[in-house]
Amino acid sequence: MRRGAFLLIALVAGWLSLSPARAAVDRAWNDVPLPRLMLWAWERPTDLRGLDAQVGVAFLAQTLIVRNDAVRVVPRRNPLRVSPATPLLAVTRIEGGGSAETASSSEAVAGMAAAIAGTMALPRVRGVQIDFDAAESERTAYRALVVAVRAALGPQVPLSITALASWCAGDRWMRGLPIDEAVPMLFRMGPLNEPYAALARSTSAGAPECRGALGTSLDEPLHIRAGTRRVYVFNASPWTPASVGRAREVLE
Amino acid sequence: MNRWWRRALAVCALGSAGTALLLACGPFFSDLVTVRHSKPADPAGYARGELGVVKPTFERRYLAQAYRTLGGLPPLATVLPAQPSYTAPAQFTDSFAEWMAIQKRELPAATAATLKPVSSTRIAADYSSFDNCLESAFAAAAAAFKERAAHYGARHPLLTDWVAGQAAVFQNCGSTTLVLPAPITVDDPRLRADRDYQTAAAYFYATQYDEAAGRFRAIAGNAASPWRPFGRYLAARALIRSVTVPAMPPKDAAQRIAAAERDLQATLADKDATTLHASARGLLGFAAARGRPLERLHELAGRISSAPGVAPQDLVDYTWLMDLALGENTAGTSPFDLAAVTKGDDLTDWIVATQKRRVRAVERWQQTRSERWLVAAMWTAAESDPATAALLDAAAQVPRTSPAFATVAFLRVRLLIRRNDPTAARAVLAALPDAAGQGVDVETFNLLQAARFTVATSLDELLTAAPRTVVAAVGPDPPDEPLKYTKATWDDDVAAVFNSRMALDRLVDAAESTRLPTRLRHRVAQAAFTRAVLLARPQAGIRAARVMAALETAPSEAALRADLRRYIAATDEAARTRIGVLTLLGTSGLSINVGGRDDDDSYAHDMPALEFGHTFPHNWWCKVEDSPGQGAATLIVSGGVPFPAFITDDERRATATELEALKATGTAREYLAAAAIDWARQRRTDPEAAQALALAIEGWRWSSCYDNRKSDLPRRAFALLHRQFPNSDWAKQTKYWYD
Repeated sequence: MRRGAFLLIALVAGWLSLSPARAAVDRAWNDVPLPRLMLWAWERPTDLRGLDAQVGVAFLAQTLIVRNDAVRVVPRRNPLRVSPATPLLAVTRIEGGGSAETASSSEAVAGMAAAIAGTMALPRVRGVQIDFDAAESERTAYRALVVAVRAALGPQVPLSITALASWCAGDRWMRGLPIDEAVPMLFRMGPLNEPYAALARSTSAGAPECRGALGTSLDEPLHIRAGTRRVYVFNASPWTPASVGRAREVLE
Repeated sequence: MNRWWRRALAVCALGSAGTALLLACGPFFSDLVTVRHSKPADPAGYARGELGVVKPTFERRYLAQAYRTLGGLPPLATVLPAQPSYTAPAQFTDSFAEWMAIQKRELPAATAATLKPVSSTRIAADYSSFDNCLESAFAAAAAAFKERAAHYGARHPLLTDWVAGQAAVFQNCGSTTLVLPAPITVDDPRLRADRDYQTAAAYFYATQYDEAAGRFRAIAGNAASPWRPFGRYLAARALIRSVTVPAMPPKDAAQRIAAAERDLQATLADKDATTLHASARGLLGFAAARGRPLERLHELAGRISSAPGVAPQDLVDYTWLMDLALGENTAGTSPFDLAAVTKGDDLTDWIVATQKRRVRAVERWQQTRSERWLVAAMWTAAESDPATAALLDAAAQVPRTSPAFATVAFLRVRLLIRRNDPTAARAVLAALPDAAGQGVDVETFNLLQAARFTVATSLDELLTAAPRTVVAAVGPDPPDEPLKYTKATWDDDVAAVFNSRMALDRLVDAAESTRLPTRLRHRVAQAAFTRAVLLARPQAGIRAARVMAALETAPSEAALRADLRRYIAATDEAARTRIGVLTLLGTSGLSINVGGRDDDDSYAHDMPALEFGHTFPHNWWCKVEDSPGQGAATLIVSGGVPFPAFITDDERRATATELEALKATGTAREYLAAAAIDWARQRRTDPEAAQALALAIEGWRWSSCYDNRKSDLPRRAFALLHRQFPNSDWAKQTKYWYD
């Protein structure tokens, strides 16, 4: 499966860890120049022209499909219509698949990093976000990829990653990642969410990387105390003025 | 949200929250349905014209097939849609790789250095993307290279010039800046013709479609160009893209499409362009659907309702146009008046009347007296409609050999039931097949059984009509090999009658009857036992427990059997109640509900689960399940399942009282946790009280009820367990409580 694809990434992890981009980003979590309310716009026709500049859009810009040592870039298929004033974050989703085979090239990680960093070239994009549910065995490789993306972006471009809630609650593997924020996904968690509900209610719970933002979903509203945190809102249905209104209520 | 999605979400959620080892979601269970609503239950048979019961909810391609078959036309084998296939973007194909190798090999390093990486996909200003350069373009370029290499000779400067021109063309696939091939510097007629073509193609891929169309037309007018036959065809493609690619279609879209149609007609008239004719015909259909949608709709309807055979694309286009005409697409509104949609088009009129249940269906039947319109009218007519008597008479005359027979027979019974004439319905049903295969397919027989179930006059009759047969496994992850589902099942509509239309004593009677197959009988028996414990009805509980104990014969169920026997043998009612509670606590598969529709997980397990499910937490119950779901009853009656006729008024009142009492007990975990706490308080040294507390705490965690109610019960149970039984194994095993 995609573990195999990431083996090669692990091989170059050491090389990348020596790169200058490994230096920590010298920026407070809340200094990322994006609004406190961000709407996730996934792969469907989306019209959010009615938003004011206080609400941003994190849109799926592309999906990287990793199979063995090959990476396929599948760009967004559906239109996104936004006001010129809307701050945009380009999201890259990483998905695995295929059979495990030995891979030895560093081209894959470089290609992935270039593709992710390349979304900054899209019009009016202010930062990038990586959405990858990395398995435990993939963390070293994922770390290397994040480091490479940071190197490609430079230190000033906001770099966000989504995080499984467990990464923020007790599993502190993200320490030292050169990111601006990790967004714990506090939805689709089912009955095992007890350790993670605290992340929604407290601004000081969880790993430091996770204290600047959180992710929730309109169809699974949690009791959230956002504080100064940035809130990303997912909507399983198309965005409408009414659902945007409900997203604003999440922040309130 | 249907059940397999709930499960899928549960699996994903458990994986993502509980472990970092999540690689993919699944497995996804399939629902085992006894009646299908959007597709035929037997698609292969339907393609042969074996219609079964035609439903208004069918996808329109299937209604088109029904229209043909009911009218005596040969069925369309093409009615079954092709499996969707994924076409990879060109840059992941061998043709792309072959061209890139040619480019790399043939171009001087200095030229190659000026080229950017080629992406076959183009990203638009609205962040969307489309496959701009298709695989066939790279394949054609590779083939043209070989032909020109043979003509000029390897490493010839003109060959290199040609490759450089073609490389420039492909620079436009993903780039937003126009890149044109360099003008030729040697007056070679062939290279000039190629360069003209390459330049037009560069404009095409750069999305400058008007310029491209003009240049392609000029090529069409150049008799000396080997590309002449392609000129009008590619001009048409440029014009079509000029309408479909921009986020907002141009105002003159209709004129552009009309011009494209003229170019395509010219291509069809060109004998030198025969290799393009099939594609041109396809594009003409595409253009007609966009440029003249209503006209094209009627054109296709005429073909579908009269031609001996219909191309698969015609069915696709017809259903797409119907979606457009009825506003059932992303636009949400129809651009046409409904009268214009159906005018002079009997197929479309029939489909709209059937699906929208329009009064017109009855009018058309009265005009035509055809079986087609009889079907539409019987789905549509209200029970109070004055035409129903005539409809019923006509339905009675439909011979068994007619393709309409199954539909009309079912609708006849349905209409009689809706007219509150169960006696007549029973008389009709008595003459209809009492097994699948006797002239009716499995789904039709399920529907007839549902009707018999609805008009049953005794519990015996009802139980006889209750079992159904699986007709399809429906879900996102169906088995590779179609499975044979031979065990008796039923759907949510049957379960809803047991759950909400029968008092406990009737449930026990049903459990004791041998009319039901064992696995279904057990479903009723366990619900009766559970309700008896909650309602403190020991005699009913004992009867139900005896049935369960007799049915549970597997060695793995020894503990449950022992509990049931203890329950039966208890010498005082307080002890019996405690044993009943402990039995429920220790058997997560017990519920106050009779289980309804199977999925492939429940199908594999006939007896109740003994341990708490973690991945799929279907433990105990949350509330009385009284929804008919999508069972056959929803096609017969509306507004929920009715009481069986033999249930007396006294029983109906008793049922209501029991349901209120069950509702008052709350969810299973609330009832059982409270019962365990009471038990421990009253019997402070009873070791089984410790067990009950521990199981209540564990069960609380794995409950499937998301009631969002904060409760103090698990914390109290935990405190009581550790305070009162600190040295018990149950206390040692129970280290946490869960709210």
